Amino acid sequence: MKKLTSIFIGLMFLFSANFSLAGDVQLYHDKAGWQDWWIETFDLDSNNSYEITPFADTSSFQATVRQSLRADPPGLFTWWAGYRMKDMVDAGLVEDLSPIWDKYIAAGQVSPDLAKAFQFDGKTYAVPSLIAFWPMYYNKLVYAELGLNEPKTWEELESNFEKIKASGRTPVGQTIEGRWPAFIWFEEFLIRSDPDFYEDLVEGRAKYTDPQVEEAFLTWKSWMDKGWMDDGSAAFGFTTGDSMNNSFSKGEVVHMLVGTWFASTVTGGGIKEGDEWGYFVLPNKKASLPPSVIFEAGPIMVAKNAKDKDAALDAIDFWMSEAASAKWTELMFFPPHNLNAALPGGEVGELVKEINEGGYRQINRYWEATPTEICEAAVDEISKFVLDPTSYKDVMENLQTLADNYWSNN
Amino acid sequence: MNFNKDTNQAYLYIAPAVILVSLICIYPIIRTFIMSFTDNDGLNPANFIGFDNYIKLFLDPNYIIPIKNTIIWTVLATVFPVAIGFLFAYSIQFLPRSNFFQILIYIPATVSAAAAGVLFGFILDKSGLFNQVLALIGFEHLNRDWLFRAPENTYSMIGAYTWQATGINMMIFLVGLQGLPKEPMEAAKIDGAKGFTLIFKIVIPMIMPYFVIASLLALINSFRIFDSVWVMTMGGPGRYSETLAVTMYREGFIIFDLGYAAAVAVLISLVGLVFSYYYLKSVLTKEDVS
Repeated sequence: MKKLTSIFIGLMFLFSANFSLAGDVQLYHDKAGWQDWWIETFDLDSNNSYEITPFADTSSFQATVRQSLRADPPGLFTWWAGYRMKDMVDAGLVEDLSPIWDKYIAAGQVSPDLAKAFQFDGKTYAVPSLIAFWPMYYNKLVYAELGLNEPKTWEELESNFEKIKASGRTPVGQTIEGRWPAFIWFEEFLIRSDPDFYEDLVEGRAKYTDPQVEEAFLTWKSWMDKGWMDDGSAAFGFTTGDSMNNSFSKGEVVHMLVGTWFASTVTGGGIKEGDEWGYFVLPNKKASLPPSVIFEAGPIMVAKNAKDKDAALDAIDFWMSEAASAKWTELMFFPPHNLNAALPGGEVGELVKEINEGGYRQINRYWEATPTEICEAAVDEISKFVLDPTSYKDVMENLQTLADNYWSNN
Repeated sequence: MNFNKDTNQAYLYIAPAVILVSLICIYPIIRTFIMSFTDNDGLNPANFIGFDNYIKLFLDPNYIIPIKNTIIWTVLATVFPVAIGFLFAYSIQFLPRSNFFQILIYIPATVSAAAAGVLFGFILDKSGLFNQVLALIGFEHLNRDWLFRAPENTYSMIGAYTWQATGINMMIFLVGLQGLPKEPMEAAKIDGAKGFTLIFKIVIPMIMPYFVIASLLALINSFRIFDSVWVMTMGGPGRYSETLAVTMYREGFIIFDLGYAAAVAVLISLVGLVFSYYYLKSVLTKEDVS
């Protein structure tokens, strides 16, 4: 019996030693491809050691994090901004990070505008792991061949499409593979005509049956009718030979509207960034509007009930520093969250410079800007429109029913 | 009830299995059933909301498509694998080197549904193998994106599923056919029965218990179909290929309305339970007879 007890105590010691060696701060994330970059960046933090756990599947990641928040959560975890994080904030399960933001804002190192994506009732509950803009990728080789210039007006944009179509190519690639991309063009058409309306719509102050939504669907439909957009059936990235990205790299599809995080995938398709592909932000349909661009921010949050909460808060402080931001930008080519860190090189850097200097209005992406319950069902409804563009009136009605159901209970 | 040494020993032998099944199966079933009467979202303390989730399930027009698709799946993914499985089993008997063909037809059953889904994702793609073959044999006009358009996507996925599920049914029928007494067959042949008459009038009635077992097993599997659909279309586009099991996953792990997802799970389980009851009844009856 004595022997058994000694073995048991020995095992307990071994396990506890193992856990303490594993790291002071736990980070769960679902960006498995970023694992090495997380490690490299957090290696710069001399105050803390880290145990960084990647999840290959987003659904299991979400389920694990949500279920753990009341019991034994990791100190840090990545998530999605806006309404996607709101239920955690409402449940009081994530830490208010305003003091850390205030420190960096006071030092002039971060923009207070950036915090808006993570704010509820004036408090900021996350810091950014990802900042991305949603410009139009265009194939410069095709532009050169057809003698086209980056469009500065809606008319120039449509004129380019006409010429591209006449050359036997598809001007714009779109996809609804995996459901979620269906919202991409919906939000873009809305903000190009009335960004205020878009912000009202996602917050429930406007209706999906309003004329602005109808106009967006009709413009979209007219582009599809003219053959300026494909039917949405292509896969997104590399998954099949005729995926949107592969068709873009071959010059069969000449534009794609995707987040700047897609840049490495585009280059991986075999065409050179800068020389062969570039960005422009879509001009407004309503010319009098100031320039605007959709932006996306991916948050890192701190779990309130984490055992390593203090170390996690210290880690967040490190993350906001110039050193961490510069390293992260160097590795990921994301725009830096710390203003003292250098901009990334290449097309992303040029784009960020243009957005910053041009005073672009930065508009939150539909995926995060509207309640999840509406968004998840809305992408399926919008997909129905892509499958049958004549169905836009039914789609508008269905979208409004979804919105009514949500806003009447919340 | 008398407990003697033998009885106690028997209880001890089955105890590990009972404990494991209770922990892994019975407990989650009870938890899911209770959860279906709550508004559990995985974050906040759950509140009891009575039959609201079930009422929502039956009144929500969005569930018409998943229910319709589940019925299509249940019928076709039962009929085709069972019928083709029987035809293969019956035909293979007359072939030399039948073992080789048995293995060949059974191999797809050893592939995971997710892997098969990925494979058929490539085959059924717009520029995939299936369209290439159609074009090669002069049916190019039939080319389409098989997983993108409804209802073609549901039928295409059932086709892919049939490829996988036929092997196991063939094995069930091979066991049945090998156990058939020779005399009635020979008597029927002497009386002039051959071809389809022999199959439908003699063989099938004689192996009917195997048909029942194969069909009920196929019904149970097809009614809860999830992995093939999720991998190939995620129920889309526009929810047009969604089945009830995909609905359950979507409500539970994407929208995190766990109470509602539990209600869908209970519904699927109840129907599965009915099929399972008849399946077990037929299996056990057969065992009693033998």
